[in-house]
Amino acid sequence: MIRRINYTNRIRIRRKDILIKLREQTDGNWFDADLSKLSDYDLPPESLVFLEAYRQTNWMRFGYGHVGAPAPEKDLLLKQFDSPEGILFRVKVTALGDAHKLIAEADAIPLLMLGQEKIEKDPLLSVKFSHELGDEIYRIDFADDRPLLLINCEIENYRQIAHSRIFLSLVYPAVLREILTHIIFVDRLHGEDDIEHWHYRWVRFVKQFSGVGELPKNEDADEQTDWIQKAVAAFAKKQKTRDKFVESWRNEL
Amino acid sequence: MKLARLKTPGMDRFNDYLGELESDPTAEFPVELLTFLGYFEMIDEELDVLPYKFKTRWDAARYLNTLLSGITDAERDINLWAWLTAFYFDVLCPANDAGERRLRERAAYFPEPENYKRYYRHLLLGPYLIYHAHLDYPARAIALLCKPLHIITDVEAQIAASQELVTNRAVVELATNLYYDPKTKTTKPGAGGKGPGSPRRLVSVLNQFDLTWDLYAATTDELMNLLPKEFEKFSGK
Repeated sequence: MIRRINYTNRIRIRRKDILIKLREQTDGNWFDADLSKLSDYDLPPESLVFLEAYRQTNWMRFGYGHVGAPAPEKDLLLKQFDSPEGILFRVKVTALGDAHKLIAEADAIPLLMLGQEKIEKDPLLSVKFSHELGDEIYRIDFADDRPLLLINCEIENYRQIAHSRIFLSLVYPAVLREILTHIIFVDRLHGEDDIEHWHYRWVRFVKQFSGVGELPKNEDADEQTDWIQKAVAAFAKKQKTRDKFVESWRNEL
Repeated sequence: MKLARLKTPGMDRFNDYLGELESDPTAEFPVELLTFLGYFEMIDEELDVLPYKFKTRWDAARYLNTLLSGITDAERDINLWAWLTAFYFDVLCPANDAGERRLRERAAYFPEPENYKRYYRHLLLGPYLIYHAHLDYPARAIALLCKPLHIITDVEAQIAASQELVTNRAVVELATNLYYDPKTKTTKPGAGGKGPGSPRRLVSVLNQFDLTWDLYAATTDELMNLLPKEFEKFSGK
């Protein structure tokens, strides 16, 4: 290997262009992969294809021939996994002759279960109930490489919290502000050109409803903060958060 | 005692107890978690769980991998791990002479197996999963598991928090070659720091390599040869 860092040349393969389906047999869970759309990408036909199945710390790797003629090099039995639920795949394309150089990749491709024909879209913000929040009611967690809204499940009727008017009016604008701040100031927006990356999806979501325009390209913190503020204000207006709050507040008085 | 998993009321009771411990470190462990049938269900009446006092995370991982080898999807069974945590609670959260227990974060006792950045913080599931990922040759992961159960070293925290790194044989072997001293059977001095050559720097460098190279295809020697000079104090080259 040559010590060289390349941030730009790797091709991002879209998840929807890869189909991986479960095949149940008496000896265990197998999979079939449709990689025919790799030919739509500008990849050298002789480059090598690998599939990696993973879940938690279980991991298996399968050689899958060449881009020009993808075909499994061995059986596709998922023997490291007791069950098929939650298994994800990576597809890696590496250069022939330039040892281990990665030229294209797709990640987090779900294994389609029997009867499932296409990849379901992830929600923009998933909710998870947590025992770990102590006296906090909610928290945004970025540990899983995308934001999760944690709700304290040690509160009575906790499943209703995220639907309550007081929560919708007070918390969701704050959540939006925190997520955008994280994208811009913590992560430095590294997924902007990857339409499946959560950064891209959130920025697109904001642009669609708010009319705030493009995110400032320069590193001016004031301009970026203004952009976030305008986005949150537009969100609050669209969601009528003040009306929701006032209605709840009257009931409190 | 036979291997079991906590039922929902048992999970709630255990969680309540952890809450009690936060305000009263002398709160008595609710032994009914392990004796009252409303709180748990037996998984396998042939499987005896032994009350070991594991010296290291490695010891726990090795025993649990043997114990659970016939249990389907054991690593995803939160209720099973909660029962094991309750069973070994005196080892995982020992009381001092005054009867006080020093509680750690909740993730140390209630596992989050689907959270790949936090799963390793569970005092039993973490070592189990790391060992399990290297069942073909567990010794390559010794640098991550050589400490007492309650100590998560920076070597482990840095590598285990990345699903791609902890499952990579070459990377884990590289970490052991760099940071583990087989003579002292523990990590080398300085392996817990944040400076040049530290595990934190190793992960940072590997993440940069990962942008260009297929790290799963690399060998330990290839990775070692790629490392900058700052790692020489650990590699001995």
